Amino acid sequence: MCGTCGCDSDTRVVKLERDLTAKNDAIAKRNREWLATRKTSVVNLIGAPGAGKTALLEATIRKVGSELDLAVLEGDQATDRDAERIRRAGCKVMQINTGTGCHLDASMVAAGLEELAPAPSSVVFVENVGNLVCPALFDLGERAKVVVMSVTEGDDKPLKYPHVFRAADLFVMTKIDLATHVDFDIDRCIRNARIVHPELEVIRVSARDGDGMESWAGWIRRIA
Amino acid sequence: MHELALMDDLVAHISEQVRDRVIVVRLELGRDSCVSPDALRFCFDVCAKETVLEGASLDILAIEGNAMRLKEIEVT
Repeated sequence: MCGTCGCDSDTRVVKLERDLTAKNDAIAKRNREWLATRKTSVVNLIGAPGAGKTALLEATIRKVGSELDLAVLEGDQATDRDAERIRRAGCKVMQINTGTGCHLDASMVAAGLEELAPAPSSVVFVENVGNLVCPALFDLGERAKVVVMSVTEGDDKPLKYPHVFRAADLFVMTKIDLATHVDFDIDRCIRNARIVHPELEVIRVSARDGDGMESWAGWIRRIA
Repeated sequence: MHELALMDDLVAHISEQVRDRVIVVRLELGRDSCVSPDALRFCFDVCAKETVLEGASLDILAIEGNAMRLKEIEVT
């Protein structure tokens, strides 16, 4: 008997319970185990194109590159321009090009980590593909997800893209040196972020003039 | 378009589990899952082509929370 309407058609129901993200989650779990054996932490940076993720990483390398072993996996649809910037800043880096893909998944990160071969006890930043939607869904095996958003993007963005702010462990607000030039209310933005994620920690930085970089460095040291 | 990645994996998984033609695929989808049911349906039809799932219907039951689970399939 069919399970839909009770008619006598020759069908049978097969129970096949499985999370839709099961395959990715299994690989993410393996990444996490691999990273744990090397005492290495991965930080997954998620933000829109132009949020300042690469500039934040360049400033981070300048700030803590001499005291911590850092490495970077750069995710973009095309080119190795960001990897070249990170290399010039003096950090070990691997570029991952996703082609048409709009996010990094755990298998791309597994392959990237293998090739990158980070030193034991290092911090690996994964700069996800510029996108505030899809990357929120895919566990990479990271220690923390960090949402990166600049003051030029609009203070209502946390309400418009709630999933990524809900999934994030930290919100880094970038380009605060530009706040006086744009119609952006920092306090309102933080209130909006905490409407979707009440406990969300927020760090405000300017990669250009260094404001807030000490707080960000402190956060990195805590998770390293 | 993360729905495409999810559906690609789902169709591959079901194709490995059954040889019979699939008539219905039933999912539960949390309202907070950040996955669009319409996009899932579109991607399902694309991914199902030339597999045992071609022509199957996709039943999506909206639930609370952020879970996304395959529950069962109907085969003939």
